[in-house]
Amino acid sequence: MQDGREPSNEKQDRVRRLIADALDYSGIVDHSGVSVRTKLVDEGCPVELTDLRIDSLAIMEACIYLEGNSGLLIEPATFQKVSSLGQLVDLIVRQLP
Amino acid sequence: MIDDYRQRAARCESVNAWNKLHIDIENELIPQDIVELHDAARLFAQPPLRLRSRAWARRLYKMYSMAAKDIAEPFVATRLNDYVSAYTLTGRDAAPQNLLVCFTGNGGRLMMPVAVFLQHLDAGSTDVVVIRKQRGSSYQDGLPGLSASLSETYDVVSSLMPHRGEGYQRRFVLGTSAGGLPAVLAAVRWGFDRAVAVGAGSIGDPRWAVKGVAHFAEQFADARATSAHTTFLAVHGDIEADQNNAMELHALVGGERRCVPVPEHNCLYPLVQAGTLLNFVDEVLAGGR
Repeated sequence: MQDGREPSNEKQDRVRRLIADALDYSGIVDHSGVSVRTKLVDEGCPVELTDLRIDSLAIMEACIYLEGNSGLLIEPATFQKVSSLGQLVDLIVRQLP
Repeated sequence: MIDDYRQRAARCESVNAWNKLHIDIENELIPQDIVELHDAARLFAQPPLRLRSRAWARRLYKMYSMAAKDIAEPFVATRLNDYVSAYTLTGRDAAPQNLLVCFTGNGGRLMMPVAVFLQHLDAGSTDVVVIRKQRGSSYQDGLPGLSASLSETYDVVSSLMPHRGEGYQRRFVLGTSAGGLPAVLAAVRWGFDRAVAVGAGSIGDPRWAVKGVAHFAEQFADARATSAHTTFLAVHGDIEADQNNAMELHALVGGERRCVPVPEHNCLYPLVQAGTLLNFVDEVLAGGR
């Protein structure tokens, strides 16, 4: 971890749920058109971005949702720094107080 | 329009807020607005308007310009309710040649801003109705405050159509992405001539069986029995999942299937960039005769 702390599972779970909400809001689904909420939240899978039907507009909308509903300021460019939703969760958890 | 944009822009304090502003506004524009925004943005001298607005307006105008027309198509928007808008010429008493009803994807777009798509149509011959679902929901849920199911949505939209949907020589339904399958079903329910589904979802999607409503295939079969003349076109980008979805749909409804040779779900946008969307639109509106 960047600051030496182990993020709590509670934080991880909260962020996973938040990201799942943002994905559902922005219409980001897997290639079969199905929400990845179960994989991400219930099963704790990392979910590779390449397994998602995702485009720049949907990423913008997901970031808008995250900022509007949780105050988390994640910019679209952040998605270019990660290869999976699991990595995105870790990155966000590290930013939480 | 420009003053409203300036006021809303003044409240943007983050990249996401700017993106939200531009996404929201793109869903409100008609072709003429793109021209006016582009002209106005060139005069924005102070940051952040100078940077963010200029770049956005330039990008929009570039898409608009790919239709290669001297003037903006003179569509006028009429917001019929929160989810349904009509785009027509003003002061026209009789129905023109075509009616095109569009079911948008999740972002309320047709794989591009609606105004860009409209610029590729002929306002003189075509009335357009655009349906936008609530973000994060599916068409099967209905439209909040208007309908409790897709079936009710069809009834509501039918009652809102210009000229009540009558008097047109040809009537079409176009659906993109999440709007693809609803478009196919709409065309047969309304007895329209042709349905075009672009990047449609899977006909096996379990959401079609929610609330005790039949799967897509069953609903299609029921509607098809009374609307045998409707023809279909399934369009998809060159990606496996969308190709599979289109093949399943094509196997069920028949008609034509066409692959746009780009490895993208949003396969209409590359047509804009290549300047070939006009050809696609002509093909759609001419097809199935």
